[in-house]
Amino acid sequence: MANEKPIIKLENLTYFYPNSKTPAIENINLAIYEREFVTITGPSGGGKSTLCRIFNGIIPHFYGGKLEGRAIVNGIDVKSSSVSELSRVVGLVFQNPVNQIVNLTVEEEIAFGLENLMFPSHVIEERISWVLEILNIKHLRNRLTYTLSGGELQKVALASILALKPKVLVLDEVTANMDPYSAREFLKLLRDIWHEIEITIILVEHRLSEVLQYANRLILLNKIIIADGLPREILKSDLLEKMGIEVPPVTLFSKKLGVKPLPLNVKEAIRVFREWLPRK
Amino acid sequence: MVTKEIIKIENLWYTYSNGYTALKGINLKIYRREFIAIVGANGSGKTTLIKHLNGLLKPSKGRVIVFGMDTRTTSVARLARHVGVVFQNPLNQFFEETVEKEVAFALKNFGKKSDSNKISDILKNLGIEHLRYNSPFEASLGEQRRIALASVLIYEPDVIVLDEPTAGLDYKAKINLLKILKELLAKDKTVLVVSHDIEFLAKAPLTRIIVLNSGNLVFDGLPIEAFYNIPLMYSSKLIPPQIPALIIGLNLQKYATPLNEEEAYETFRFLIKKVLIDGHR
Amino acid sequence: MVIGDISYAFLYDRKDTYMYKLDPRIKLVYVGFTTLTVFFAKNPAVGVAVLLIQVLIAFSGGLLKKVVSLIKGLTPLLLFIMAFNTALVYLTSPSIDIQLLIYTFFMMIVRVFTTLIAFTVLTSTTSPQELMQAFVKMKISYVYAYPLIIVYRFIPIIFQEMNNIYDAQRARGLELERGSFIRRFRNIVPIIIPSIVSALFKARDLAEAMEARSFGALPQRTFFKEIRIKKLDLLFILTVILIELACFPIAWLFFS
Repeated sequence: MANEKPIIKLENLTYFYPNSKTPAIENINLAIYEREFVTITGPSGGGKSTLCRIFNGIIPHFYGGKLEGRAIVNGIDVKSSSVSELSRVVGLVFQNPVNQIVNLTVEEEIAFGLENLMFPSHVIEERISWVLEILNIKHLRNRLTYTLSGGELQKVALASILALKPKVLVLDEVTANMDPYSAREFLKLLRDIWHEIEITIILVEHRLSEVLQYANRLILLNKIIIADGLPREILKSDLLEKMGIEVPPVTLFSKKLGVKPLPLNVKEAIRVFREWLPRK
Repeated sequence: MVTKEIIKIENLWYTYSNGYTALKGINLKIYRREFIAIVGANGSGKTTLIKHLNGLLKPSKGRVIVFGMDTRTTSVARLARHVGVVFQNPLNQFFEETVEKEVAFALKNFGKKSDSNKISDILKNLGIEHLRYNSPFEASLGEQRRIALASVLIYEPDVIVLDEPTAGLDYKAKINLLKILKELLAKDKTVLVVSHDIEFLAKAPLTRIIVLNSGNLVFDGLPIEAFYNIPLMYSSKLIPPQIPALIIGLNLQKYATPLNEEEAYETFRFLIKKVLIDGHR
Repeated sequence: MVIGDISYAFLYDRKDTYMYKLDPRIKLVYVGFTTLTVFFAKNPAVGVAVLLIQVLIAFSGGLLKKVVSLIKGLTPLLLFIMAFNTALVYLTSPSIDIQLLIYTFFMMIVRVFTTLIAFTVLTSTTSPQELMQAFVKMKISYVYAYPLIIVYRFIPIIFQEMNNIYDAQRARGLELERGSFIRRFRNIVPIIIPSIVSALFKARDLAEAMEARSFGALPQRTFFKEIRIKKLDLLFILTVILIELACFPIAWLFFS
């Protein structure tokens, strides 16, 4: 899955918000390869949202501030590029869907980005149909956006980004306002999309219970990169607990008992315990 | 000695002006010093229900009696003195330049004198004394939630209702909130929490859990009975806490029913012995 | 209630009559031409005729309910203003010709209603998206025209937010229904400030989200459902112009 050249490469990256003397992120070195499914987590204020916005250039171009070091996305230097150019490669979905949606109808919203980039009508039609299909929201096509539920809105926001066919999809705490059931459904949908199309997914979350089973790489960020590797390996340590990040209860429980291999969710825990118990 | 309920909800129906019926015949009694969680999927009627407790909404049918007052004929201001509701978004209420003024706002409305010592006490209890003269807009989300809570605690209502208090909070802030709620209970308050953060609730010393499903009250009882009832959880679009799900998956619920990982660890050694004595699973 | 009736009249709901299919530019020309016609009309018969034509046009587009709603909502207000205005003129120059006064009063009402009905036809059958496109085709940059859509889209959201804010403040004892006038006026501040803060946050988040989809990156944009002037549009506007212009000679012949 990993190609030779990373699609995102950050070298010694440090960023200061305007009028800030302390950096939001410091000396970040990170390489993300195509088709990875990466989860970034960390405490509040640790720079997760900052990093998301660097991926598509909103930082520094929309926010200003000082960006030191190098950030290369799909071969383009973030500092000398534009949000528009980077947004064609990196699609960013924000936490609150209500504030991302501009148009009155779902169809208009999905067409929005493509219209801004001067795509012709027939291509827009193809993209709309395609994205409604893969997200299973064909029935929402002509709905007025202010009548949609939170979960539906988030899917529409995702649809309007996917319609641009970015190579990388970045989701900044998108399940924060969802109830757990809807969050689970949404994450399953993301996993399905990841399998179906050739896309790299970067998921920023701090509710890990549902997310850990999907990512093959976990990055701990608290202004600097604390850890970067396989979720199971990182959970074996107590880094997450020390940083005050919520660890799935079954994982915590298993750690206390010394159960191996360390389960990340209930299904795995049941399997592991079934083998472990008789031995005890 | 019979304890009388402080809040009585009788056959409560509520329909919004657009025709949507959010509550369908809710019957509920709430007693002093309870710690009740109201759970359900988004749209199940949780927020609609709590808005009836301080009269923000009046019943379409049925009635709600709060400390002997019928909400249909009592003003929100009067009811709010007994039932303090803290909503989810603190930014929906902040407007003062300092945290101190923000917290004292309710006192002004109720015609009570602003007590500097009382304010200090409350801010200290919630760990936000250092923000007293700062703008509430500059605080972090966790701090803002606590400022909003302080602005309700200041006028000492008997019942405190919190709507999704853990949404967006990190783990440390959640544990801190739990501590604050336990302290409130120790001071003889009644606490109601609307939440779908089931793991948070699994750690809370709840006296009861109320489950709403599409406007119907489908469960009213002990947390253990709710969390170990997987069909109930899933049919109400809820995900059961992980530990009960694990115990059920291992078919050990007849031996022990822990709700969170701490309880599970304590009971597990006992469990292991039991399993060995009873033979192989 | 007055606001309810008026907002229903101007509100856009999607329906299926020919009026909804007309190009917004044509509808803009229709409103403009009608307004000019009725203001240039001196003969009251012409005025009434043009007014009745608007009612007919609205009816043909399935908008009669909206026109009735408009009249219901606006009549008391307008009558009051006109009466007040007329009375003022009469009181300040008592020697004024009564007939002239009545004529002016009458023509004012005719003109205002004609214009408003035409305007209702425009706004209730044109979506913000179509209107925005019309402005862009009239050489206004889409970056400035797009806020039309954004405002429309956020109106229900803003109302909902303000309701939430009102609830949160009432839960802390804020009263807007009782108390002295001054007190109640001051109590608007705890509603206004959070509303403004909320709107500002929305604006910032929205700007980021639009930026992230290349809004404003290129000087022009394409439109998925582009408005086009069709034969029906030309037929409509020609018919309207001819019928309205015909009122003048006909009135001169029969109603001088």
